[in-house]
Amino acid sequence: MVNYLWDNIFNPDAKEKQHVKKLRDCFLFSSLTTKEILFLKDIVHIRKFNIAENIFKQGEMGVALYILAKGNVDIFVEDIDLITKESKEIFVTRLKQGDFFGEIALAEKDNVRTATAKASTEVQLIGLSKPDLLEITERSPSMGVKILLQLGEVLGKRLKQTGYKIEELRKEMKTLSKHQKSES
Amino acid sequence: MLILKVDNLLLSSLLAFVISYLLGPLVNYMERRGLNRVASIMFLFSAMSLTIFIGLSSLYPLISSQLSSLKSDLPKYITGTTQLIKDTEANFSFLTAILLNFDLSEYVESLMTTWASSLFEDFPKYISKSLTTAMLAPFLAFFLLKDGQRILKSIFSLVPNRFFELSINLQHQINDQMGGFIRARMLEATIVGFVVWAGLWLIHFPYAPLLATFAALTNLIPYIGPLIGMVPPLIIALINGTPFIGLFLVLLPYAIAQIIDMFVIIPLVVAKIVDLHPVTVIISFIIGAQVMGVLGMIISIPVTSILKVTTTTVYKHLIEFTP
Repeated sequence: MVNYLWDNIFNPDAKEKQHVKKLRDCFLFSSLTTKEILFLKDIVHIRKFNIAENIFKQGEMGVALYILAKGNVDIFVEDIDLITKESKEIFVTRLKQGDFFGEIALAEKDNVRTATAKASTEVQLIGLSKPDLLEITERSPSMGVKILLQLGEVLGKRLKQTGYKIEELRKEMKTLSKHQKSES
Repeated sequence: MLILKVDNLLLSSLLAFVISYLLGPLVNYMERRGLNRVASIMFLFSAMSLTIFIGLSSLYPLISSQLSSLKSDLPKYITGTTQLIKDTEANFSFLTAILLNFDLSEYVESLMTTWASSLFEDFPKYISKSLTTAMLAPFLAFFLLKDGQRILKSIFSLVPNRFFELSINLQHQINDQMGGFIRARMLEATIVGFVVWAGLWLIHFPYAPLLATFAALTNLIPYIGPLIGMVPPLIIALINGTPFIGLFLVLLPYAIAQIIDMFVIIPLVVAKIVDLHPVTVIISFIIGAQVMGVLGMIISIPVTSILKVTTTTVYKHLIEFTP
């Protein structure tokens, strides 16, 4: 309680400056002007998570993107065994300070989370939801376009990476099948 | 619930929401054009106050003459209505003798006399009450428009992490639906008011502006509102001994307004915003009327649609999509 009062009433500037810096450092907002970053700061949400707390779970509806302001977040996907129907969590990656995740929620209608995000340390996140992005676009279309262009670039890059990975897998599968044929 | 107990606070808050939903798109538009948000709100409020002031001061002679003539004519209309009921009673005496063993016309006359005298005696009280609301509602609306986003952000910061995205999604959907609904209802009321006023003015019917305002306001009450709006002109026409064709001409603008409402505004605007089954609407309307009277009737549909959006969104978030 004392910490909350100290952080929010007696020392708000330092906190706000930190958030502004985090926003400025994030790739999605890199093309925004200082005035636009300050406007964004008033719109985004600051969320705190404890160790092992779920930020979101695979299969849930998602409406927000998160920027990691402090701490680490682990991403897991659920793997269901086709025979035993048992499911287990497979670790995918660990995100560190400055990374962002959940961006598809801003672009897709009725977005369903494709992975689980869990706090691996004490975590502070900056959340930007789809309604927030709509509000930005409504009040400052040029700012909305800048964010959406960056978002499009991120999604495009991720799509390209996925395409390369699929191509690599296809090649590996071809090599494997050739190997199997030559063995038999 | 404090808001329900404090006099005028509920009505003022509701009106503040209505004003903020009506002015919100304009404020956003001005902000898009490069104006500061606070300056945009101040400009719109000043423009609105000026319009109301000019409107009231130019309409004041008309309104005061209409009110004073209504005050002097009211006893005539009360006696006329009583006579009308007496005549109807005489025509249907075989029925009323069985169903009603009291003097209906006398009962209606005493009721109307009390109502009419209290209407003019309590007029200053109504005015002072309305003035409080008229001052408080724009004041609240100003801060809703200016700090709405900040207020919401503070509320969301209190929501547990588990329900954070759910609450944001829910608020967005409710806000979207309410904004559209309120703007559509105001558009409906304005069109009904204008059509009725134009129609009555064309046939030189007395109290056209007052009756048009009454029709526009009662149109906010679902189903029975338009019928209530038709009662005063019908009584005035019957008492003045208007012939059948005259009655038809009096009711024609009301019918045209309702046709425009039913076939154009409701299907194109309201139905897209509020997707409720007619049975649900009627049940919520009855509950609203029982709990909060006229105000309950007016807010029954938006409250029900909020409940529907809440239920479907919560279901989607917590049940349908959770693995």
